[in-house]
Amino acid sequence: MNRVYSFLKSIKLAVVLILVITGMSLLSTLIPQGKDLSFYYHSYPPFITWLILTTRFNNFFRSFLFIAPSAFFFVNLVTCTIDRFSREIRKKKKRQFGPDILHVGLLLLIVGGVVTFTGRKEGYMNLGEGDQINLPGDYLLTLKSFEFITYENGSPKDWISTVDIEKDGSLMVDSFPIEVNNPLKVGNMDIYQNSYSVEYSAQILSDSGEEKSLAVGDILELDDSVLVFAGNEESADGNLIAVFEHWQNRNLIDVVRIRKGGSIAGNTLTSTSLRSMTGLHAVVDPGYTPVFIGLIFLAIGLFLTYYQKLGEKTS
Amino acid sequence: MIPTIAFILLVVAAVIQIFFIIRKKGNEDFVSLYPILGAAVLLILTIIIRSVQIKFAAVTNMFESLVFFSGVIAVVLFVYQFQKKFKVHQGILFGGTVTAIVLLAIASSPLAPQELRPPIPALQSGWLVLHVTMSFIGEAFFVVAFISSIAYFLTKDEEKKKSADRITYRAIAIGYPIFTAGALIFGAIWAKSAWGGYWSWDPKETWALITWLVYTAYLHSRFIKRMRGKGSAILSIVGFLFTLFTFFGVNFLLAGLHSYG
Repeated sequence: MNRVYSFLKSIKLAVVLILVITGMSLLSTLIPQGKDLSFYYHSYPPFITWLILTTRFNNFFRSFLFIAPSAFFFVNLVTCTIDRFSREIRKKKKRQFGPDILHVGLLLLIVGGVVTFTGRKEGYMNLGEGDQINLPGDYLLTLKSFEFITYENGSPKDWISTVDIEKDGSLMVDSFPIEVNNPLKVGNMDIYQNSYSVEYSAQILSDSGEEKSLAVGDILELDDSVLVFAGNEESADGNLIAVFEHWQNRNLIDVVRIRKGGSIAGNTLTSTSLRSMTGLHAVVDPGYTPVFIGLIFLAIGLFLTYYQKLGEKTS
Repeated sequence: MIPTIAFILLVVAAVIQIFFIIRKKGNEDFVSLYPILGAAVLLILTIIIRSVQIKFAAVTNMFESLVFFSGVIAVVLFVYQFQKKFKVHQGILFGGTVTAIVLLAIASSPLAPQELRPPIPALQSGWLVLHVTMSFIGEAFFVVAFISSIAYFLTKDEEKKKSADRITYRAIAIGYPIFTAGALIFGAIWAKSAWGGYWSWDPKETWALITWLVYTAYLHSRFIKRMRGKGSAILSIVGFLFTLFTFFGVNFLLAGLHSYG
């Protein structure tokens, strides 16, 4: 038993495990992660592909190859921390708890990582001004406004999604500006500014008098081919023109541009429009709290270790 | 223009250092610290001027990062040379100066466009500034550790080996907590605030972790008798090569979230 304990708390084991995790992680960055299986079949010889897929090296940080040495390292670190802490606490003077606090911080980081791995939930939503969406926890999010601000050179300066949050009919959050680096916290969920897009639409009136709104990707059927609504383009006179792709037997045979009032497949184009859409990202990550506490412990542990070492040298 | 003057000052410092090395007056060089100080001031001034121009801390692209890194190396070398308690050998100062010169040469190459660009939304964060600046300050000490580890292998004198080993250890002992705070702690907090995830196994993150693990292994190797000296020196050299790969290799060879800097 003592031999097992001595082995598990050994600093040599720690160094070996650190170097193993380092080497494996290094290799993982040389092989593209999370690609389609066909990518590996096309990129590597059969044996290497078999090796990558069997060991799950294509998803290294979720694979046994990473999790096993990391779990072993966790046990090593727990044993080492308990051993070191119990030795320090028995000392009459010159106790040094910096490395223990640092190690506890690391343990919390690993625990937090596991909690994130198993419990993180996230979702994406694209909203235009005035749109509403129900969120978990009976929250109702309304996008009041969305601004896309650019620098003089046209590069993005800021995306601001101003939102209200209601719960059970009462306003919980009034006009919060969600920006990159300024997420909104709602209960245990954080909502981030994630992306920006433009939603095109075209309104048509059929010969039979039926009105229809087309979104990108919608199809108008012809006898032996289809017209796919591909979006809107701004013409030289500043008007929006509807663009349709004409497909026949899976071949693109033409691109058709129609102005307002023009005719397309027995329909009249009555109007075109575009909406700026914000992309929001909602995240629930129960692992962040232990990770954040772990980071604080890590910082305190490093400071104390360094401070106490400095004290030793000075004295 | 200002970085060019800083470059010239560093070259002048390197020439002075060579003179003292040839004359075997390693510890009597009281001259080269002045051009090094001048270069440090000019490089930091470059960052300040650019920061005023883009209205944000100018450490958001490769050119600015290289200028800042070179400036911090120059500051660290000046401090090493200025104080008397932890004097380092002239060869180590020379190696550090050459490293700063090489980094500035890369900054002036087409690999690092000098165009002033205001930061994209993800980069507009105080956490990013702490993340980048503290990472480079920590890495500046890793430069000293790297050169002294090379010195360890170049000398046959046991006393000089011991001295190089001590310098390496001290430099990593100072650089490691600063690098940990910058690369890992502030990096994780910034990533969480910008993208909603404190860690995403992006190639740059993974390589920063690999670098940190190597230096962690270095510090723990000091407790293993057999690894002291040669083993530790190898880890220090590997650690700095990984630091360079994290900065250059990942930017040019591996795509990811950090492709801008």
